[in-house]
Amino acid sequence: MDMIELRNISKRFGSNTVLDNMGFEVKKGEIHALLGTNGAGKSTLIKILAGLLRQDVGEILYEKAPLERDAMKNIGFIFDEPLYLPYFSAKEYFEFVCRLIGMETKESKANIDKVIETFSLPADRQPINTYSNGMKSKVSFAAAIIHSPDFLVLDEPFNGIDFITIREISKILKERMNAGVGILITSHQFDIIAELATHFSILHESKILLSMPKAQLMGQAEKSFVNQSPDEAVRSYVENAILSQRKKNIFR
Amino acid sequence: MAGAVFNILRKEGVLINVFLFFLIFCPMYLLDMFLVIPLALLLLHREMLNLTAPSEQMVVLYHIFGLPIKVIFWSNLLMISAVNLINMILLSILTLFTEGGVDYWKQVLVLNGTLLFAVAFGNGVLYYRLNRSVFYAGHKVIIVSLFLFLVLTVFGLLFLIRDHSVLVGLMFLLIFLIWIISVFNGYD
Repeated sequence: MDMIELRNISKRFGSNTVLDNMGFEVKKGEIHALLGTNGAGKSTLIKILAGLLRQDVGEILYEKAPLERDAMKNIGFIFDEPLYLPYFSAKEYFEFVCRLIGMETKESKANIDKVIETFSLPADRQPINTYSNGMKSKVSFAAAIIHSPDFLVLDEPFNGIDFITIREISKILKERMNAGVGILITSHQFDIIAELATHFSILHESKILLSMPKAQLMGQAEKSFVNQSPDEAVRSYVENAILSQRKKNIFR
Repeated sequence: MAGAVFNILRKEGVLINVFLFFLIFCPMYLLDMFLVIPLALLLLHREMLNLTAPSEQMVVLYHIFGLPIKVIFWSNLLMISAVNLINMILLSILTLFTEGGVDYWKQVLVLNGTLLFAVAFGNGVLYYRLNRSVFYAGHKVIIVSLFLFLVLTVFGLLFLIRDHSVLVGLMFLLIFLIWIISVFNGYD
């Protein structure tokens, strides 16, 4: 099965170990949530996956082969900071992205019109740096999906976005997943993630604490927290796992 | 046009560098003021500065989506053609007012030698930035300063070379250097 696999990834910044021999895999047709507290290393991991940072140890495999620049075009990325070119209008920016991807003019025109309509973005020549933060995030998201990639890697995609757009983006992500796209997503907004994700991995203090399908996680959570609703039980289970690990590390 | 260039340089944080280097090298402009005008256009050219030190967002985009060779090729070619066209117009005007006192060949060779060096430097820096962690690849202000310093130095050195055949040889060497960088880059 097509997938992205992170194997034995380690990364240090000076004496600070951000990622320590960690790994998991994201398969096509699943939404894989990567959860963790602030500073857990989620954004560093996404940057390593995008090739913006180099890991010290470990490898990233795409369809069982090392992830090369050619394969990167099959992955759409969103980073913790929205990615856009400030002096371009949304349309010009999308045209630039389509040109970099090597999309045919006719196809790119149709795709640009579609994302502008879907995300209600201005089609005029207004530069992106005059947009609101939410609109900038929308531009960044639209550019990541404009070429219908096989995988989406999304770092905090709902930051600064209004609740209506969150619902629209969630709908798009579910549609993409049903169409066979593999999605890796990080977010602090647990409720949205809990509803969307089919797999969970928890990154805590540079290591993966647990990685399992939602059904398995729900089963374990319901056993541990019998008096709570399934979603609350999952949240409590995840919180408990992080807090227990934190205590272990303190007393070590 | 001038306003747009001014705004871009200001917003990209390199305005002071550009003016500082023009001031430092100002005695050199006395060498040949007609050559300095197209050179100034080259150094202030938005595409050249973007190619030399693209913004962080641009480098991230190149990292993720790749950098088609067409973008580099046309950017380099358009820049060289535009500067040469301006120089040709200036030389034509100069011809009307002088009587055979200008070494046209030398002017064209010095200008194109400087242009080719700028292109080689720009492509080299881009290669460096695309092959290393984006966030450690050197600050834009440092790269632009280095670019201006080296281009103006090369301009001065080329101007001091009297032999045309040496200039032509250097130009071929620079073209070879650009080709080597593009082969290493494998931009796509």
